[in-house]
Amino acid sequence: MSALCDTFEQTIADAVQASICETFTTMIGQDITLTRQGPLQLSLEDAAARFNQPQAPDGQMTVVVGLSGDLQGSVSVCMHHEAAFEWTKQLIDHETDQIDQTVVDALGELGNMVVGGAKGRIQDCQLRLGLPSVLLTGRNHLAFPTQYSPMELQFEFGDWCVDVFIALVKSTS
Amino acid sequence: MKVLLVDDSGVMRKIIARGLNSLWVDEVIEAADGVEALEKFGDGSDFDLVLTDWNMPNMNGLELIQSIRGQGHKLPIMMITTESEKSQVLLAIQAGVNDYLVKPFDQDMLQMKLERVLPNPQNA
Repeated sequence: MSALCDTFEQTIADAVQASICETFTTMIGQDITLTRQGPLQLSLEDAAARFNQPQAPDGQMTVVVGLSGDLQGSVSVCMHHEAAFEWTKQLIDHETDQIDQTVVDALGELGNMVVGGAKGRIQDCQLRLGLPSVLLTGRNHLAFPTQYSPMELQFEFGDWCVDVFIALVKSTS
Repeated sequence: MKVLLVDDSGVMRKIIARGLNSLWVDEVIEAADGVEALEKFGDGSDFDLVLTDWNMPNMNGLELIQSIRGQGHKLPIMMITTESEKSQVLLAIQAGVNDYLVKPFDQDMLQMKLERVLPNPQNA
C-alpha cells in the first residue's frame, strides 16, 4: 500500500465534502457548512500524544463506514449526540433526548449516504462499502494505524460541529 | 396502489414509506431483505410496484430483481440505492429494473420517479 498523493487526497476530500453537503440539503433541507477551506492533514504523532491522556466522555457519536477495493480504509463522521438527535428528528420526525436505536440507525444511514455519495463521485475507482458502525464516542477517541495519513474536514450543522475523518490508502494489488 | 418496499434500513423504509403514502400509494408492505421480500411478494398479483435497495443481507436487490423477472413478472421495479456508478446502473437495467433513484433523494425526486413507473391514476 502507498500513501495517497496530494491531488488524489484532494479529490477524495472534495467528493466527501460534496456528498455530505448534498445529503444534509436533500434529506433534511438544512445546509451543513464547511468551516475551514481544504482538508487538514492529521499528524499521527499528534494523535499518538493523546494515547496516554485520560479521555473523558465527550458526548459524541461517530458513524464509521469501511471501504474496500481500489481504496481501503474508512470514513468517519463525528458529531455531538445533540446534533445526531437533530439529524434524526429532521430525517424521520423522531424526537428524543436519549440515544436510542432509531438515532443509531439514522446515523448509520447518514454514513451510508455520505460515503455512498462520495464513492459515486470518485471516478475510475472500484469501491465497495461496508456496513456502517456507530460508536458512542467522538473525535478525541479516534486513532489510526500508521499506514494511514488521515485527513479531517470540519463542518457546522446548526450550532454543532461535524468532523469527518478520511483514512484511506490505495490498494497496490 | 400497493407497493413492496425492500430496504435493510428501517430508517430508510420509514422515509420512503412516508413519501409514498403522501402521494397516490394506498399501501406499502415492507421487507428487510430479498428473502423476506420474495416471501411477501408471493405470486406478485397483489403488487403494483417493487422498490428495492441494492445492498442488503441474505439476498441483495439485484438478486431479488433477477428472481422476480425470472418468474416472468412484468410489474415495474425501481431501485433506490447509493450505488450511482454507470456500471452499476447498467447491471440493474440488465437485471430488469425499470427506473433508478439514487440516495440521497427528496420528496420531489421520489414523486418524479414514481410518476414514471406508477402514474397517478387520477391523472389518467
